[in-house]
Amino acid sequence: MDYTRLFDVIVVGGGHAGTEAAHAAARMGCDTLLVTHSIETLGQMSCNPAIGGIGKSHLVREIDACDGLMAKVTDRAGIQFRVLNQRKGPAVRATRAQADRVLYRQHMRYAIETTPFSNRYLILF
Amino acid sequence: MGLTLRSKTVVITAGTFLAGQIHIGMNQQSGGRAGDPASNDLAKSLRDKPFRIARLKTGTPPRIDSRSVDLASLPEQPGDTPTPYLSMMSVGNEHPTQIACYLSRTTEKTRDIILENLHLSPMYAGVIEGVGPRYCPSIEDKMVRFADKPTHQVFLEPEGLTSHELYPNGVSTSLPYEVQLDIVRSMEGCADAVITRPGYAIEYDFFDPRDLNSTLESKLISNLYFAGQINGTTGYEEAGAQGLLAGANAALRAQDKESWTVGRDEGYLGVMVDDLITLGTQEPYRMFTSRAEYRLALREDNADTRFTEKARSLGLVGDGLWRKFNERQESIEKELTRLKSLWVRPADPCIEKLNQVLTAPLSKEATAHDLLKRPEIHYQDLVEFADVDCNDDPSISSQVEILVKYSGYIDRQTDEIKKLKKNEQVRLPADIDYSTIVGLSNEVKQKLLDHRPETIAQASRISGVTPAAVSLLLVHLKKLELTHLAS
Amino acid sequence: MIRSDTIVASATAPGRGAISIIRLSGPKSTEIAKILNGKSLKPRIATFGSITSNDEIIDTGIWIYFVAPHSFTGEDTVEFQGHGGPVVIQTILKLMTALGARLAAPGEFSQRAFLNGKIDLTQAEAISDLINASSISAVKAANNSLQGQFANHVNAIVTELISLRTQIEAHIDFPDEDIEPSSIEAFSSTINHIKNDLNTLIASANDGVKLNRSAEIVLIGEPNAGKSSLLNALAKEPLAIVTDIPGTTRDLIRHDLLIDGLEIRITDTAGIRSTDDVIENEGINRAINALQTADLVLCLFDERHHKISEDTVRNLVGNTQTPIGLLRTKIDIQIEPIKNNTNYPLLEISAKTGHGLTDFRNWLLEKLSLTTHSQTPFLARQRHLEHLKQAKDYIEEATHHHLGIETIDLIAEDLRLTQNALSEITGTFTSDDLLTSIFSTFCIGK
Repeated sequence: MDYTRLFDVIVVGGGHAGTEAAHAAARMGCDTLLVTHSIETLGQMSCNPAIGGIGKSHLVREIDACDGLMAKVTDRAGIQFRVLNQRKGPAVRATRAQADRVLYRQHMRYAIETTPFSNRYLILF
Repeated sequence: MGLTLRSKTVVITAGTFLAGQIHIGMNQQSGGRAGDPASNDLAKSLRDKPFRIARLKTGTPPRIDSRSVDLASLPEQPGDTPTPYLSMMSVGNEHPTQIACYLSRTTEKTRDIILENLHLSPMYAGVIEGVGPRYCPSIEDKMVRFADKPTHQVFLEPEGLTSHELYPNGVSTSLPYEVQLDIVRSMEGCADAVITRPGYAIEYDFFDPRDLNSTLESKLISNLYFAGQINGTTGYEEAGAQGLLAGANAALRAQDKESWTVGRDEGYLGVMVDDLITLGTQEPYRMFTSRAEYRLALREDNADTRFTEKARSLGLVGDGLWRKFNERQESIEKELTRLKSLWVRPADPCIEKLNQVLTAPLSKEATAHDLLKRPEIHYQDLVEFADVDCNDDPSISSQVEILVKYSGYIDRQTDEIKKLKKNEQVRLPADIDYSTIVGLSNEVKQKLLDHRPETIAQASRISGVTPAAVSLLLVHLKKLELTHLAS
Repeated sequence: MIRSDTIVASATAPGRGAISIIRLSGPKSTEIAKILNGKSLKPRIATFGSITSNDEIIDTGIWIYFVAPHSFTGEDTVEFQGHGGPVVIQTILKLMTALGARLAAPGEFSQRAFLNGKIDLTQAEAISDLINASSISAVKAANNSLQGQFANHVNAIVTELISLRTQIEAHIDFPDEDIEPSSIEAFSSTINHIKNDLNTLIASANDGVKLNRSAEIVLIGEPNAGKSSLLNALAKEPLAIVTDIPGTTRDLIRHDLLIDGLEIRITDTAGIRSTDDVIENEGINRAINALQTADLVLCLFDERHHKISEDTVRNLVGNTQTPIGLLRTKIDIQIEPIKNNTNYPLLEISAKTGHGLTDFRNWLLEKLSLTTHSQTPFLARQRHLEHLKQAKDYIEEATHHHLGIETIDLIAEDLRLTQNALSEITGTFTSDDLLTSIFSTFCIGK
């Protein structure tokens, strides 16, 4: 590994912000480095293993509309999905998924490691 | 490791690792989340810079072994069928096995236990200085603040397919382990419950997001970006969305390209970032639909319409999604055109059954599009009662129905958005001296000094800044402008 | 500080107040005060003294000297608190202007205060209301506005609106919480209630706005009763064509008069009589409309042709809540002595000789000062009214929906806009304020 090179983007932290940040920069063709305590905890759900909910699923869909990771990973890790406010009008409808922690972590790590921009650096340690 | 790394831009997403302090009962320990070390070096080196740093608190409930809970006695909460998908790119075979959640409740006994042991809670004993979220109070808080509520619901959520752990959503606590056990065992169906991990409260540092600009770049150090919990937010979704914005902007900067910002009228991402950088936060910031003034336009179902084209131009969107997006937009357009050209006439054979669902009978010919505008008519009614051929793709027909039904409201918001845009274009110079502005109250001056709004629009959203103060700012800017022209 | 000349004006509205304040502001203030009072004033100390002119005491009262910049305007300011009625005030103002002060333009004190950084824009508005207020009740109303009566009314509505939005938004943002089941019917009745409150508020705000402009008087009477002549006599210049042919005044002629500082709009109406003339009939209709909204209606009688009685007055004005005053005109050619058989005040004048005009003017001032909207609960500016109307329009839209769980997002939107309109008056209500209300009302938090 060449540590003298000048990276375009270094992301510190491999949580939910860090993974999206690094993946976004890599998608845009940047030499990107992700620095984290432990590769095992990429995309770790430290609190409630759920994604989405009122207002929050809107953000997940927006990430997805930019080809981000969270929605794709949740679809592969979700073990219970519900639409909230189903009867209340489309603007306030929201999707909430209960996620399997282990599956979520696995799929997030897989997504990071197999980013399709193969000629770009994406280094984990 | 003693390595020196060099980069054009850096994104910091250090979460709760910064100077984390975990509380269980009166015991404290340093830590990120349970089991991980806190990033004290990082916190320390950042503390040396002139950032404004404050402390927040959040909590988790104890985890319970599902085999020790009488799940059969509790109401089951299955997921929806068909199971919804979150990603546009999902094709329908991604979901693993689906399972149910269960609903338990606290009892009178739970309340008694908590109130008796309140002095052991670090929150109530004054050990915790950070501010917790109002929307996610600890069970101690709930019992104290809503003392007359006899029972609170607790959702028992499985942690995974290969785990026996349940996450009891609703009983976040920092009471000592023994008390936690008593609490859990006083809940419905949990008399013999076993705690696998105790709940705890965690305090952590966050960086005042008012020191960021709307690309999430620091106002103090250029090329440095912050995203996630470090900015005072809570939740994976809030963190992920910020990560996307910060990562993309760091990349744009590295590529010498123009930055990307999201307006309040464009997305929840825009609402969140603007709230954070303009108002800061006193509690872990969580997204709610009521935070979005253009809620009717910012829907789950049209995130692609709002984002994908722009994201593609930034290089964020791959060919797969781009193709899918264009197909969908085309289908929506085509379906709208089709409905506009489908006429229903009072003499048509379907009219009798149609009139039964209309609040006023059809008096003259109308297009299917016109009919859909009526509040009592849904897309399915057109198919059933007006002999309109159904569109094959339910996501397209529902999108078309929403577009038609909301169009009046969306049009009405356009004026409001125009006004917002105008105010967003009026920039407040970074070196503006609020103390010289005649007429501003000291309170407003202080607030403007604290928040350092970038635009008039941001200034107007600071609580306590009156419309009069905004006009004074405008007058002052006018004055500055005239002075500048004169010199 | 901006170099400026010295201005003077009555700081209280003319009429029957116990105290009148005359305010001087500018570099010559103390000099003028010393000449009139004979004493040097000490800063911020009330000095009892008189105003004398040619050895005659015009008024006695309290002098107070505020040194720049610690005064209302930020300039050297002298206030004289006297007892003067309209005539005395006019005399004092004349004396002061003769000594080098200039009569202040409307709102000029506030303007100076504003330019010197003594007041912010919101206060400036309320103070300019006070200054522009053209009758004692308008001053009352302006005072009420400053003390927040108007804001209280709006706040009561806003409180109810917030409570409603709290319920609705809680149901939208926290569907999984076990909060009380929503009662759509209760929402609907609250929406209607707020709508009605807004309508009531708009009606009273309308009064406030009208009051702020001027007092309105309608002259009404049989053709050729002398209405136009009276108006001309008061205005001192011919306004309407005065002839001896009944029915000359076909249209409404309005004129704004300043009588002893009180701004009065007088409307000269077509006389009331049945006619086949389409145009004149139109004039009569307008006259009837005008008197319904006026502050005072003056009925003019030429007793050679029409005797004054309860019945003849009723015939002229119909059923109206507007206060009524009677004028017996052309007394230079009346033969019978004056006799009042009615419950209304009766005065007599001759526009031709000027007899009774002074008494009439004084009576008019007193009458308007005491009765003009003394019931008006608050002062509202036109701007406020616009926002109230906007709020009403939005909440009305909420009532047009078929209220149900399916349309709750649309209703929430109408309510948000309603609140936005009201926020223009009461200050911003942020979404975070709404969340605070939700969290303090409901036990939220899984």
